[in-house]
Amino acid sequence: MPTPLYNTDVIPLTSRPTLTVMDDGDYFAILDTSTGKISKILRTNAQKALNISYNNATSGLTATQVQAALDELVVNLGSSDSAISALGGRLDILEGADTVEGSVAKTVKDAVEPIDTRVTYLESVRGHLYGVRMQKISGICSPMYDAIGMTFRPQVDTIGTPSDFSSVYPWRDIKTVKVDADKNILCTIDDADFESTVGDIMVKIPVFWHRYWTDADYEYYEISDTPRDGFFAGGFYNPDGTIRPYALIGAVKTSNDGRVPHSWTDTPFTHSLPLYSTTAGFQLDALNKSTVSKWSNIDHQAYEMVWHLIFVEIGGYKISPNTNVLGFNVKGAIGQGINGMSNSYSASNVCTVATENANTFIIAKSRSQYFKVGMLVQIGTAYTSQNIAANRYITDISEYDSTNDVITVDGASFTTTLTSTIATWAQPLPLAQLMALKNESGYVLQFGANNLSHVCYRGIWDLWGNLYEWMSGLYRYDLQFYACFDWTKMNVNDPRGVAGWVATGIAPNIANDYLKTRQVYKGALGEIGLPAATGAGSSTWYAAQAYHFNEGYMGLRAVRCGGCWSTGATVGFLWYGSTSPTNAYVIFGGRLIG
Amino acid sequence: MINRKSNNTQFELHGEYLHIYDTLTEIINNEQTEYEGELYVIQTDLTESVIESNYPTMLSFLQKIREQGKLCSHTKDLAQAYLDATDYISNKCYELGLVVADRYPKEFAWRDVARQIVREGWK
Repeated sequence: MPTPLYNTDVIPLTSRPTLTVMDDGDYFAILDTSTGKISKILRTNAQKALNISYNNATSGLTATQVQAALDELVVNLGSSDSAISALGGRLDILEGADTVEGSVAKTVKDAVEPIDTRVTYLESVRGHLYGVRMQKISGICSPMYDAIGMTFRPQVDTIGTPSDFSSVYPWRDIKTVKVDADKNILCTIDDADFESTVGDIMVKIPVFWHRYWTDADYEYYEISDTPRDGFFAGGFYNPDGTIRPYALIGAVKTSNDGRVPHSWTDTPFTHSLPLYSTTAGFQLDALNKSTVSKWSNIDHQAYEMVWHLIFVEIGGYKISPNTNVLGFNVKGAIGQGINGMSNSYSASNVCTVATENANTFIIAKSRSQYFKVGMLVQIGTAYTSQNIAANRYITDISEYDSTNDVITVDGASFTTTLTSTIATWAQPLPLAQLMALKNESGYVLQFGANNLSHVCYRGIWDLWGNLYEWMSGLYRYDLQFYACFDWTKMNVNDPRGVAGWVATGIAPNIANDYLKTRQVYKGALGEIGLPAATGAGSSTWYAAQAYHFNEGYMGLRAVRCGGCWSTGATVGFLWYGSTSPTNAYVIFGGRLIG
Repeated sequence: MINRKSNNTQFELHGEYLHIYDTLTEIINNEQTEYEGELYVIQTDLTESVIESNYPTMLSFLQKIREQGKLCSHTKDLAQAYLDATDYISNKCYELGLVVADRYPKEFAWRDVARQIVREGWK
């Protein structure tokens, strides 16, 4: 209940005849008869503000005194405003950016910085560990350790948002370079003179430590930027056990200039060459490339090292519309690779109208549909032959008549007959594609289809599809695997009892099918994952075939990998185990390492 | 996602994951016959016999859910996910004055089945 006003409380203000001040004990009420407005001030506040003592009964205040008190109140209130303004200014400072002295943000930042420095130091000591594990029974993969929360991003045609792994070692420092015959680095892909520099195009991978191991339920792949117990620097060891600071992996498959192997773009790849030879073969040619620096055809250690990088990077990448990572499906995660050219590599692509001294090939429309302008083709007396015109690019495809098309190719003229055949084999990599993706991963669409396009993993092109690659240093005799860790000792035709070669004791006898699980062989200088069981699919578990690792193929066998232009969805982490290292065929190629 | 494999089994249990295929097309590849089809993978705690008797239902549900761009990661949520993925039909038919059973007879029937599974579980 408000306290009633009393007449005795009325204080006439003679200096302001229109104002009357009334005191009800709690409030001063101020009546302005000129405006009819009544204002009130809490008496205790006014007293505090005015710092005055007022007793209603005895004060005998005059209007002048009250007016003076009110004036003082106004002054004091003005001071309060100044104080509030001052506080407001202080608040602005407190809420200021982390560059503003006195702000909360700057104080926190200044406090965190030494902690951050300490954490960085501790991490440099602890290192980083990235991993993935695959459940054996389901093939479901999940990232581990520092890889958790990191996102792989494939690139198509051009580089968009890079993979998260592009910002962490070792992926961050993978760089395409050009080197001379002695492996001196001439320039990197970021240099302005990269395209004009003459040299072999290699991908420089900085040293890291990795481990592949299994238990009853899972297979694990782990990558560390520092040495750890149980980890190997596989792919970086010299035969004496010292570690190289980086490895060089061919950006593309091997092409040859005479007997000198190269890693070149826009150049047809070498094929129809054996792995083992005493005169001309992928391993021997690589060993003879330089008298100063050692080269090799890609061996099991380089292969494992690169694929460990891949497995860990894509191990958390869910391929739409799946709700899980179903396996190491590089085709779905990165790109199909060239594997869909079975129709353009066929005995059905025969000449329908003979041509003489021209650079044309006339073929039924029903077959010409499989050829595209820009494809490299071979014309021969069979689809596995190039004895009429070798390595020609299609420059035009036009209608010849109602049932036939004429395919025009570049280069010198030739003559075809009704038994001549046109075929696509491996496709060279255009430099423009290499420049477009640099050291990210994905593909540049060509010929209108993913499975007709080259595929890139961090600057390494066509690891799957296009052309098989012989794997050096890993043979199978009867069922058992034999391994060699010294490039200079890999060019043999029987590993049993040969210096530098070890019997692994691992002898899988598995059905021809898609690879499901692997088993590990640990040597002094690295690990090798070897096939253990099949029964997967083209998109599940290892998502590629493991063929001919069984008793149907005894004696000496080498391993070739990746798949070729016509093998369809089987390509990927594909191993083929039935071929003698002395065999040669148009689908067998290689890749330089240094 | 298309998967190619060496057998033509339309569903497989791999641990707690169920692989379901619709049509598997025969592919002659190099030296052996393979089979290729759209693969659906979903977590499950159901037995093989329950899956076998419900295979057509599960496949229909999964196909519709994927067609609508929805996700379902476990068979226990499959029927509800199918209902969610086909709710648009009710709205569409209401707005256009259509009869659901006439315009979408297949979905109408499957929704009835889905409701029963939501209530009673997979049998």
